[in-house]
Amino acid sequence: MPGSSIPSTVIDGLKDKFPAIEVSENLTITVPEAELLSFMRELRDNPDYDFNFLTNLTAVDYPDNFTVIYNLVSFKYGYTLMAKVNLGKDEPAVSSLTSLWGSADWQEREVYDLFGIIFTGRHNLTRILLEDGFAGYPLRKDFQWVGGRE
Amino acid sequence: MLRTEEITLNMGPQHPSTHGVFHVVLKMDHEVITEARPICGYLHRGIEKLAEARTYTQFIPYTDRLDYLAAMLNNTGYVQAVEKLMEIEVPERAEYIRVICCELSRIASHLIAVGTYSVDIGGITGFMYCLRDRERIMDLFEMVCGSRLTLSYMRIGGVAEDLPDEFIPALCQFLDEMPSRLDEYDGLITGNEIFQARTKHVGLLDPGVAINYGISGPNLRASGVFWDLRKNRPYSVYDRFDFEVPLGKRGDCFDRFTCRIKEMRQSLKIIRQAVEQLPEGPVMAKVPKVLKPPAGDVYHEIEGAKGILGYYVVSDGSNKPYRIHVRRPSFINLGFLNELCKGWKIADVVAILGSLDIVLGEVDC
Amino acid sequence: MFGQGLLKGLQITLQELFTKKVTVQYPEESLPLAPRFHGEFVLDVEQCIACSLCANACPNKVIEIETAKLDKKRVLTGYMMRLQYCLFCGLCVEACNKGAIRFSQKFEMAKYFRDQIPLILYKGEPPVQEEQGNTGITAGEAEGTEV
Repeated sequence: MPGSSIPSTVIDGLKDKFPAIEVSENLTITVPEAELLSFMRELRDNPDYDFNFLTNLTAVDYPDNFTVIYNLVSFKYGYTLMAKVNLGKDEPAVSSLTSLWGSADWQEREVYDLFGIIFTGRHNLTRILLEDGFAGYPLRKDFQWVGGRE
Repeated sequence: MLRTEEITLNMGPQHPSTHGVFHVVLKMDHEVITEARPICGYLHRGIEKLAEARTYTQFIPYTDRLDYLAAMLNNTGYVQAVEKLMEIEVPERAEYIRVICCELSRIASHLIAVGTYSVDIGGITGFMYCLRDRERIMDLFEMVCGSRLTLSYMRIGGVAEDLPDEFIPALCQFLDEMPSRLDEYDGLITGNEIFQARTKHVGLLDPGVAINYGISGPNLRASGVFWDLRKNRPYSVYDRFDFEVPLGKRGDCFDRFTCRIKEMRQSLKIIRQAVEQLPEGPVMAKVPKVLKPPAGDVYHEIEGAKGILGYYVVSDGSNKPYRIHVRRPSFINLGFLNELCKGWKIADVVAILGSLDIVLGEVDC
Repeated sequence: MFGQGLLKGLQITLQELFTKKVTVQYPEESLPLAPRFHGEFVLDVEQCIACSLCANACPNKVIEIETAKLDKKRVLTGYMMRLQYCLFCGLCVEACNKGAIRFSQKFEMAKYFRDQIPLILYKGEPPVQEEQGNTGITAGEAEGTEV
């Protein structure tokens, strides 16, 4: 199943502009952390793509790295795009996209809350679902909870 | 010049018009809101974490508990995501049953939205009428799957059981009676001058800003943006039905409200067509007893009752999902509350919050 | 003219006054339930082969099955459902190949004390079960529904 639905010409154009990106078989684009903000700005502002809607932002804790996932939609063309950023296990940090899309605000806070991934260059990065004094990040695989039944 | 002092007011966590356990810290200059800081998470159950300890099928009952007013839609979004990952073809009949159930769920959810909004504005009568008709939908669901609210009807590869014989006649009777009921709401709530005075030109949402903030569903369409996944990116069998997407003009609370009433009429239209086209056949694809999707990830979106409902499923090849993330429309719609409330009077906060139609089970996940 | 909408609303509520009453005097009367209604569970002990498919299908570890080995056969000695955790999703009923665990129409499941909530569907002594096992469980056991 494709991760994105964009014509290959668009992908090629992106590859020319950002040689560091990797495009997988199912059209998922992996972006290096350093280029994320400029890559996303290009996607949003270039009228050829016009990705105006950041629909989903989440993260996964893989054994070797954290991956932050961005799902973008272009209302104008109907394109969808899945972009990923791989982060190291120690003190994961990634540039915030709140300057581009308002919807990143709460979703980044949620990812910070549940994964402990720091989003740099934004204000008010606080816990959103859990209480402020909560210890640990529940959606990390090494999280041990206390209580529950049995 | 009068000296003004900022007032802080806590709305909630226990407040009837927050539709659940939700807390807004309001900062006010006299009666004008300068900041509305939403605090959510009181209903956080860690459903995404629970999913990691359950099999793919076992997660279905938990999706009911996200947006518990439209459980069918939550079920469908999830099972379709897993089906996309496993590349399962769903039988036609199952697709049609899904569409019927989903649209009924959408009507049920919008009825609650319309009814509770009427209460929020101060007209308790409208709520009773909406609940009366929602009860009919609950009865229909009870016929189909035995439950009324937390339905768990969808299965990966189809639906749990075929429709019982008495369902279609009961549904047709409902379809015949519902349009006149919708006219009643229009007479009771929409046409009411006090209601209009409270909602028209209040809480204006600019289309560009709405898109930037990821707002979806009726809230976005009320601002005049044509974005309905059933039309723009048809999934299931939605491309076979003839229906319109109601749009608003101003993007105020009144438009958001009327959009939902209009959408109910369109949903009735879709159900009627689906009943006419309903084919015979199996309701479940051939799927293995133990589901082990190939390693990989998938993101699937459907048009939920509150907006775009997305499921991100990561499989590591085992029988349990490695990670499930739900793009909850209420959560993202609520993220805009602060901006939306700024500059309006304190009495408008309830009108604005109610018009966004949030469900806290979904916000807090 | 201002007020027309209000009058229209009053007219609708007034019409409702003359419609049929729908209130049901609950404890004395009750509404009919759908045949598929998810009420309290019943276990057909004769049919149960203690295969634990239901317990494995449960998302929330509600079902606890106790078995004993008698003449190389697994027989049921206890079937308990911790209903306080039950989601009433019906996955256990769906998983049962024998149709032994079913929903009933009983919905009045409220209890006064928490320790009364667990639903004990079977608690039997193994010797008693042996007789039942020989009569009630025949083919199903031999087919082997081990998973």
